[in-house]
Amino acid sequence: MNDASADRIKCPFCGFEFDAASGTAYCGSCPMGKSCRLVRCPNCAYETPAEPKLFAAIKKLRRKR
Amino acid sequence: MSARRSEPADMPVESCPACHAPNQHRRRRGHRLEMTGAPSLKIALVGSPNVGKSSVFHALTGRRVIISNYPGTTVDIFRGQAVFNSRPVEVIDTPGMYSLHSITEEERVARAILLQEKPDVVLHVIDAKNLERMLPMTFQLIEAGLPVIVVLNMMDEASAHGIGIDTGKLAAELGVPVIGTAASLGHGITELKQAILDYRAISLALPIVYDELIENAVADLKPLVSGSPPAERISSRSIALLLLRQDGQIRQSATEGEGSDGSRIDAIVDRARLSMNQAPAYVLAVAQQRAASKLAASVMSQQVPGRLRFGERLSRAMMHPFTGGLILAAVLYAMYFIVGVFGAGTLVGLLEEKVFGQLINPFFQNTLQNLIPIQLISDLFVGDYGIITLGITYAIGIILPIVSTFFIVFSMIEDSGYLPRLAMLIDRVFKFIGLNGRAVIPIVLGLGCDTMATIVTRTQETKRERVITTLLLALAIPCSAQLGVIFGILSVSTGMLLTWLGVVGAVFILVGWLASRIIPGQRACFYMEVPPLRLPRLSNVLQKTYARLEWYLKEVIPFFIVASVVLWAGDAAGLLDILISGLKPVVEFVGIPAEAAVAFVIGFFRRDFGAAGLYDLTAQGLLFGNALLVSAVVMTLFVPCIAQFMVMIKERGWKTAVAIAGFIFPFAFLVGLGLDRALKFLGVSL
Ligand SMILES: [Zn+2]
Repeated sequence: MNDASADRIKCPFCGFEFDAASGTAYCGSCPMGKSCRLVRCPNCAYETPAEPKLFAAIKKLRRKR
Repeated sequence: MSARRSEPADMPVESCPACHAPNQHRRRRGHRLEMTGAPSLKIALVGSPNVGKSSVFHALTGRRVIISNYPGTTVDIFRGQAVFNSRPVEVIDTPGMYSLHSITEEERVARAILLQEKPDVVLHVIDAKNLERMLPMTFQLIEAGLPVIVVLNMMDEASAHGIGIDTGKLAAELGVPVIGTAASLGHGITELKQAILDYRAISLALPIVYDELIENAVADLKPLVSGSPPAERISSRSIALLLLRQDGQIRQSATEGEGSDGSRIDAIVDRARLSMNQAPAYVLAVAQQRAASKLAASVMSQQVPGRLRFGERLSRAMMHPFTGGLILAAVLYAMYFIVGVFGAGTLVGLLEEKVFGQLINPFFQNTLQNLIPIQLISDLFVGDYGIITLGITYAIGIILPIVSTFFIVFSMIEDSGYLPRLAMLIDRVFKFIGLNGRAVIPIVLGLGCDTMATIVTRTQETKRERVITTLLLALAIPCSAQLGVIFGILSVSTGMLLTWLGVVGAVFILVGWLASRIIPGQRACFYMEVPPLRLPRLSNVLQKTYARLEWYLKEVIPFFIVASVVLWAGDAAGLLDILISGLKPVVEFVGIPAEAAVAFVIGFFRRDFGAAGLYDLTAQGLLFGNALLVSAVVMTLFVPCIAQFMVMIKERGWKTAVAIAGFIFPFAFLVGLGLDRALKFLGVSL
């Protein structure tokens, strides 16, 4: 979660921009617990998947080149 | 939210900042601007990336540009020299920033320039096409008491999009000068230079008054930070707000001043955080975004519909009750084709029947039955409720191909910006049946996962709203995986799918309408920004599909294994038989074959699991025609899965959760019964 935490996510539902690290406000009360990688928009509560590690790694590689 | 008031404690009172009328109290910076022959004026450009900041920079400076690393960072800074009306000017182009609350290194550098280089004028460069999205930072700069001029850049593109902006009104509302430019064409640059030379007013109006908890904390923090180093440059209100946003850098520099008390600051921030449901950073951001939408709406004008571009016309059609309904039908039809026909038909046929049915399952059945002589134990893996024959086969053979195709379609829909328009459309239906628009979001979310959507209902204001939405979610909203499997089952005929859609839709509207009559309440308005439509991007779709599949596999496979074990144990102990024989008469009375009772029982573990059970029966030729349709309708209405039920108890309490379940179970079968009898009466056999 080091790089991803600094990433801004634009909610595909309401257009609100937020940083990925804080899209987990509701997770404590969800029975699915830690296994889910969805982040929740603080404005409208819509869930989007966080950037998968694989994709983050690919992006990094491409940036380095 | 956006009420304005003056703030006497922070700064001296001045007259109308928009029209720059002279006034007696002037800050020191204002004086410096007036002195002729004064040294060079320092100007900083700030703004988010891609707003044409560099074209404004080049239009102001000409050719003399120095690029340097900002000390201690890898971030490049552009500095240029120029002369405006015989006054020397230094222009600094800062890295892109989205907010004064800095997260990235670029943003930290941009803020450091504002704080340390002490520019005489700060130009906030905005993309005029996206005024609404850019205004929150304008508010922050004004709150900070910085000498802001708003530069509405790309005015040419905005007018090409049919967007007109009343700059005079915007200036009056914001309390700072606003200049429209098209820097790449050189338009508005002369006016901008003049506005820089004329700059004197400091805005005193507060763009936003936040909610009480925030304002109280700000009032408590202000005296503690007013003597700190950042207060030399930005208002103590702004420092207090940054502290509430838990800005580490500001926390550090705000406590460096003489006699400052870091622990008192922390105590106030912690108290505010604990007293609020959500992090102050989000409460602030949401308030700013709302104020931005309101202000943007009041100063922007869209041209007459006749000249609207195709995208805008399509967008409106999507939200219109009639055309929106047609478009929704087209979207569902496309989904049916991809998910139902291709995913559930072709792919599942290949995986479940060929790979699992003919290869994997027979292999394990032969090997394990030979290897483990005790049938009870081998049943655990390959029996009727075996981990491999039921759990893994359902999860990988049936549900995985269906949800994969569903996720692809869903990611495309999500990336295109259709969802908020769908929400607006549903909002209209809701208004029609007298329901609160705020229920829209949990309902749309429920199409993803009802369990999480049930948790989200807590964002609704009154208990009534929360109960109605919880009920509708449990009753009539299938989750994405269940929806996919049901599409798959019903893909045998379009008529069946349409009837299913009609019945579930009618139940939703009827129950929603009745519930809103029985439990009436205030209807609040529904706020949402509708982002622009766009063609889905392949990389985004792939990334989201991949992420959802990863989540699905990680979360669901273990669940299916556990469910198989529980079913196996229930079967071994004879409990399952009792449950099924109890359900059997009900199921048969409704017109569904007795075998389907098992599917309803396992549906309680997960909605999609139950639907997969129906799928299995269909594939075996045990379930078809009217009975298939009735089962699908009952399955959709009947099951809130165990996780959803637990959340219902947790969020709404025992009594409400049990009451809702107690209503849903018989009601679902009643609807099934009605449908079965209606079809028989009409002589329809599907
Ligand atoms: Zn959102």
